[in-house]
Amino acid sequence: MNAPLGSLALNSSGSATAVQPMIVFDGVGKIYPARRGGLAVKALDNISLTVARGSILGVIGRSGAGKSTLIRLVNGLEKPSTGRINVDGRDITRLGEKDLRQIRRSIGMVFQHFNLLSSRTVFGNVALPLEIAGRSKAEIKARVEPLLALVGLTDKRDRYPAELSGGQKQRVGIARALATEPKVLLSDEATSALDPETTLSILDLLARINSELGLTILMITHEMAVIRRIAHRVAVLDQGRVVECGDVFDVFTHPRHPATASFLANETGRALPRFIAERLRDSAPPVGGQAVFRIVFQGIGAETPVLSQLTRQFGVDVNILAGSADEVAGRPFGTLVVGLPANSGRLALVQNFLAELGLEAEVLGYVA
Amino acid sequence: MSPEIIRLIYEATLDTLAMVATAMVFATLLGLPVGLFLATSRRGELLAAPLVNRLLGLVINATRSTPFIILVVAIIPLTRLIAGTSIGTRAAIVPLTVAAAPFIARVVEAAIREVDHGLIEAVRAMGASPLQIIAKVLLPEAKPAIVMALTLTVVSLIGYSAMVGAVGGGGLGDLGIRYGYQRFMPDVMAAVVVVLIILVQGVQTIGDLIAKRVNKRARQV
Repeated sequence: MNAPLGSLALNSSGSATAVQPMIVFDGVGKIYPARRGGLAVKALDNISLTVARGSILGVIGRSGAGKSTLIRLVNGLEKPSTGRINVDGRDITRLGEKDLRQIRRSIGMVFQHFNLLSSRTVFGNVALPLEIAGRSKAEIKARVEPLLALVGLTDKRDRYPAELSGGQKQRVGIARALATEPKVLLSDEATSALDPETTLSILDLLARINSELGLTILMITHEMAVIRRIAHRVAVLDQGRVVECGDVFDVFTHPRHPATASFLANETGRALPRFIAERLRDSAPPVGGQAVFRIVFQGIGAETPVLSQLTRQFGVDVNILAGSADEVAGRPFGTLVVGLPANSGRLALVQNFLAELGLEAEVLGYVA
Repeated sequence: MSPEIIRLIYEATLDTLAMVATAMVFATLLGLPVGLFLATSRRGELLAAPLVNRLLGLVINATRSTPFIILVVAIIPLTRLIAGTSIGTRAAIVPLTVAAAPFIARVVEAAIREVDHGLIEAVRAMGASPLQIIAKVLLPEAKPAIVMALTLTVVSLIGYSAMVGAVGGGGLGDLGIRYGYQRFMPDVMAAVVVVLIILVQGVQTIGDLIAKRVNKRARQV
């Protein structure tokens, strides 16, 4: 299980750093100055976020929301206009270029378009950060081979990137990011250029690295599916601000901000199919018709055979209109939109029954 | 054609090759670093020095816009200073170098600029210094393009070397003008042209081969 480790840090020394978060954004803003004839662009506005040691924080946002800027602040590829960023207890906003280079060696980064050197083999690409750090040939060999084994590319050792598939390239990218044994891994849309199946295998690899190596991962993405699969916490970025941040399961099950809800619309079966939405009314028709319920299954209630119990106990016909059932952050979660007879006089009983099971049920409206 | 003429053509070919090769070596030594600097010294780049970049650009443009034959004459004092003479094959190397170096600088600049910016960002994120970025990313990644650029330069130099014949430099151009044109020996002229065509063809083929070998981008699975 990918449970958030939070303050249960991996640091066994028991020192004060054990509870210190790995990454802290403190009131960070970024303004790109006006170019000739243009306006200044406010990319990030007063961002405060923390990433706990050994956890995975997913930042989700649309393109232009400021995600790329945010992630590049962590390794100093971008400088903030205001605020501070702490990485492993060091304020990196105060460091000069030389010190930053040292810090960057403890922060790995993977990219959407892999950014592998076409002139180097798989081995050479993974060796590159070690060469830059000035390690010896023997050290490099001893480090690269196990990494290639970890990402399952031992047999591609002497191939060039042009000979690899997208998923294989990203595995090289991940091995390369891990070469200098970083404490933090930054993932910049690492799966956005991959097909769905490859995306899953890369995400599982990242989750494995997180749990086995205890690496703290900050990932940015525009896909909720990525967050739900491996992140522990999620921050929703909208127009340069964090509009919502919390435990992935909580945010998925109870989104509070419209931007979050719109990301989730297609992800959790919350959106009503058009054929229902168009016919939905506020009041029940005088005779017949159906009340449209949305039932949210989560936790224990998700495993109860609710619908068949409804039919047996109350004698109502249940009409399934839409729904999805899956898991979020490793916990069962589903949404079901059902139609129940509107004028049977038993709606209140049904609602009570669902509430007793700890399920959320909401009447969305009525259809004739 | 008499054996003597054939020997003349043979010697002129060797002269041309020597001139082009020597000028090429010096021009590359000068042009490659300058091209690298041009490609990395604009505002916000690795070795940012916008003012020097612009000045250097001006000098290069000035050299490149001077017709070669005028350049040859104009730099005679410099040629004398370096080669000790302004006539002959050895002297011709100086203007050839002066003409080729800015050309190389520009084509190398273009080749380096073609390197994907994402790669530079990736190695910066690894903690690379500007020199490491140049040595480990820019040059290796631009290698196929640089090889093509240098091939292009050799071909141009072969053409230029024929022109230095006009001012007393040796080689095939000189032979063509003195025998083919001034002594009305069209067969010599034809032979010179044929040898030049073969040279250019050969250089281009070799350059293409090397470029293909160092290019790992388009390999088949």
